[in-house]
Amino acid sequence: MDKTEKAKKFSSKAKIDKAVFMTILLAFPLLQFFVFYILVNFNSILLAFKSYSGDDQYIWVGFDNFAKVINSFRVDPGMVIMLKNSAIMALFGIAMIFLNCVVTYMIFKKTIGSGFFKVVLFLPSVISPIVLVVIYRSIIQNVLPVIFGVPSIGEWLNAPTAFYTILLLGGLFGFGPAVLVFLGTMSTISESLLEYGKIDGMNSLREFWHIILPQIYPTIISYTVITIATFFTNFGLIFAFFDVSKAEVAIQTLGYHLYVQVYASVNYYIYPEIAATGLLYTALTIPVVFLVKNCMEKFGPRDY
Amino acid sequence: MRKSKIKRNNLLFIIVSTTFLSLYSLCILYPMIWSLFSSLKGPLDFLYNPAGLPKEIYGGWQFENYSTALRVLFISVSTAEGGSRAVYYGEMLLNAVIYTAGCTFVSLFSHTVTSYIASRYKTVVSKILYTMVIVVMALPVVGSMPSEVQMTRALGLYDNLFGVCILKGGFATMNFLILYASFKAIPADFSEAAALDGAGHFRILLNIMLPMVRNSILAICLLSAITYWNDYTTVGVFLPSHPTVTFGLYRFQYSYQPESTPPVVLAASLISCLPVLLLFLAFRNKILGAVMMGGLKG
Repeated sequence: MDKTEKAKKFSSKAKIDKAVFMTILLAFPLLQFFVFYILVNFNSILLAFKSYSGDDQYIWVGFDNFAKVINSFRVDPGMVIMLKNSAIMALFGIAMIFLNCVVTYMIFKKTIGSGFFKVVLFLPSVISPIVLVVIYRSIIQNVLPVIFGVPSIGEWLNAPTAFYTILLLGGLFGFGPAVLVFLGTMSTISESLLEYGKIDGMNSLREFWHIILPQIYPTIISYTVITIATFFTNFGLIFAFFDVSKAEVAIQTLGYHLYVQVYASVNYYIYPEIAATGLLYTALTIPVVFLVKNCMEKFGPRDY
Repeated sequence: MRKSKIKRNNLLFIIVSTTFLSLYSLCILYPMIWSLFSSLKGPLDFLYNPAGLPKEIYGGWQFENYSTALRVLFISVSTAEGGSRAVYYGEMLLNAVIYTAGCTFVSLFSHTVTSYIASRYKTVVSKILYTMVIVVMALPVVGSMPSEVQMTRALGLYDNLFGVCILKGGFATMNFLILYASFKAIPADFSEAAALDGAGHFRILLNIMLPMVRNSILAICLLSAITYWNDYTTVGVFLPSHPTVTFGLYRFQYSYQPESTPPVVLAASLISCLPVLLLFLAFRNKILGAVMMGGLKG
């Protein structure tokens, strides 16, 4: 065999080795993706156009499920309340993004004890929401009324204040990871840029507004997009705070309503409606997400 | 004059930020410490002395609350025959360990191999993998859980601890991007030198590449383990007969058993979060570093 033939044989063997290697490694992940993303979503789309007829059988009903879902917002005031709560939760989440940036900046400036604060900020993310709920429910109902001498504080977890109490607690617990992600982004800001700001006589507020915010703006966009993308699925701590299906409608969000229907459904008759609901919500969310992302990129601050 | 004004403003900033962060820390740490002391109270002590330390007049320090929690913490689950059975803490703990370890391993495997191929091999498959991840992360899909339940039932994975681990084996998450960046940062010289020495693809991956990204892998492994240990939404839907400790605690607090007094429920809560708390404190620098790295990839 001459040198050219040997080289060709070696090259084709190397290609085969590489192909075999990639196939072995990617077999499971790609199969998992195909089954649990492609097939599941395809089945979900088909399910949205069907109705359960008993004995694990479904019949085609066209757009009936979609009509039911849209109609439910007209006839059921509870759905409108849930939509309002979902909107409040999303707006609160977006407001929290800005607060996270400010808090992160405090740690970035190496405030006294910033290392300790980093650990404490992340602690609620390590502990299960169920544990946090058990502890904070007891604190609100039993301890705060005694400490402040105001018995009505114990009622904060009843309607009509329950939703806002849970929202605030969710904000309190959700600080940690966001702060750390922003801290990671801030750590990439060039030292010379910050030095330039100091020489220019910038105080902390001006430095934050003119240098820090533009530099971390892409991360702010990511978080805003995620918050909007979870508009219809977010239920925060509501499920953890109440026994299944015992949360009053005034406290529920659309995401909670969706999840509890799947969690509590012994019969499968409701699955097509949930699938149709999900499809509608997805169709509404995708264009809004892309619109918000494009607008924020177009009209946001430029790099300093 | 201007310099002193800036200095004054910066001092004010430090005071305000330290005060804010201290208040926040108080809101987090006080409840934790309070729950520790309250878990050692009797029921009357908890009722009449909610804010203070355990008092002798109400029975003093009740360390047996922890053994009571382990003994009485149970929930009823349905059986295939249509009846019900009690699942106690020991079984829930075993379920939690299997669920956490299984999901972490499967998820980490998927993320590692896909990010490795996508970052180190210049092929069409690599581009497709990367695009798939970005598209899946960008597209919010709502309401697919009923279809997931149907799929897992059809495949025999429903209500099966190992089956649900496969469900969690997806790779289109932020962890892919973190590992992708870590693998991409390794110079090509290492793999080329190994190839010249006769190392095959598997050898290069196992002996050279994985050791070089072990810090990223460890951090993601720890974060994933914490997430799966605390997961209750997936367990509630897909593992109705195999509750984990976290989900068991959720159901237990509403079970209204005579011995599940508030201090005992608090004791059960602290027991359930102890493993992840110890894990976090032992590896906090790596965990915090991995989360911060997410910001770079954002």
